Amino acid sequence: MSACGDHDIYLNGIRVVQKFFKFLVQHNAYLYLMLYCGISILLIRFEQDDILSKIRSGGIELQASVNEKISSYQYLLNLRNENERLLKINAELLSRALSNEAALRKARERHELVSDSTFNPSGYIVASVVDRKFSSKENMLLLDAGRNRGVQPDMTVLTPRGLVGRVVSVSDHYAKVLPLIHSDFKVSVRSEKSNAAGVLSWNGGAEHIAHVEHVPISTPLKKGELMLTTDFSTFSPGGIPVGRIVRIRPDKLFYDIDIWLSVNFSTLSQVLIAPVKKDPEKFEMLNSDLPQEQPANIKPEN
Amino acid sequence: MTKTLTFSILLLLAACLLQVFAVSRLTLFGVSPDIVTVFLAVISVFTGQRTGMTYGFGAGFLCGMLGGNMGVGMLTRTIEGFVAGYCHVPEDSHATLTQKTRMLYLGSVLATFAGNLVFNLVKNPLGEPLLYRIFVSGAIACLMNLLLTVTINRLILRKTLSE
Repeated sequence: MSACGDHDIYLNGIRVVQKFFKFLVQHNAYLYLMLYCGISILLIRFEQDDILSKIRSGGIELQASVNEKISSYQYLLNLRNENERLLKINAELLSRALSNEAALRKARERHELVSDSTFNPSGYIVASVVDRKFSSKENMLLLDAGRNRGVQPDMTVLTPRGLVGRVVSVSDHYAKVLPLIHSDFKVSVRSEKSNAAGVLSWNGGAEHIAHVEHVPISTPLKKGELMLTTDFSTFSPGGIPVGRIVRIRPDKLFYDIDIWLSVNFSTLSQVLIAPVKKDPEKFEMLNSDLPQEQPANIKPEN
Repeated sequence: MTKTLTFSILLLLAACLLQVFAVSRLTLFGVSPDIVTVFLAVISVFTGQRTGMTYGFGAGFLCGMLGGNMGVGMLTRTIEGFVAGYCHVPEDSHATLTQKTRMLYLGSVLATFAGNLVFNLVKNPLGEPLLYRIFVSGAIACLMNLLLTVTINRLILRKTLSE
């Protein structure tokens, strides 16, 4: 009887276990859910644990390195556009730099021009040489000052170093200058020491050498003497340096003199324009007699 | 069987990487679409709750490890797999294509909402009000994931579902 009772208990136990496993099989999704959620909650709870922190930081490092790679590929893909953009910026900056540099140089040159202690520039117009033609067909300078700034024909163009030329025609914003190194240009000059006067002209050839004629051989002249413009000139103020004597050749009556011009025309960039010399009576007299100098709009000086 | 399992695991891995490194960058009102949730919804709908949850647990581990939210990620993904599993369509169900598609969409939306709810209850990275996070962000996330599911269904799953 007791053995039979034990057997029943045993069978009942098996049934309970079977039911339990049947329940587990039927509802294993909930068990899985509980298991997974439990693990997850434990991980949340012990998030700051050393091992988890290490895993997490390793993962973050991995993510960062992959992101870096992705970014580098994106960078490579965008490189062409970036290059084009930079080229545009470079061109713009280069243009600005060149413009600034040109403005600075111009300002410096103007400053040098007007700050010459030996020369008083008041009343003079400062101008820049914007073009220069030196050829067999044309030899002239173009200045960026015209009628609007008070420039008139026959005004003298000079620098503190010496005479440059004469204004021959004027537009509103520009003035054309017949330079000293033009075969049509003539101006009366005198020696600084002996006051011996002559007529300066340029016959072509070297840009820095001009000739002075009609200086009587009786006049004491030496090499290295400075030649200045005279007050006889119809356009030029007197006393403007022109050049220094480098060679003297006596002829029958007059010297044939070569002078080294004071102004270097090859580097000329800033000039002064002297106020026009107003002496109509003298001009009239000269025109009626033997004109030595004539206004440019009629005929060059001779 | 092993082949299918390997393929699924590789797909899960690819989805996780895609999510962490690419899809998470596409945000709308601070919410981004979640390709892993969609993947879990597909798995749960076609293979059942238990598999869905297991995949979710794994995906949560991987994404959480890369993103720094391992515990929360695992919990969220597990819940997503579990919830989407309620839309499970057994192989022998004789369901039509439309029914399967509907279940897929429903599973995706439910999984997204549940995942969003759990995540927002645990974490609040933007410091927004809870109700806003649950309902507004949840709705946006559901909409985005629904669109993603529709796209994936049209491009990839339709043929499989019709079989």
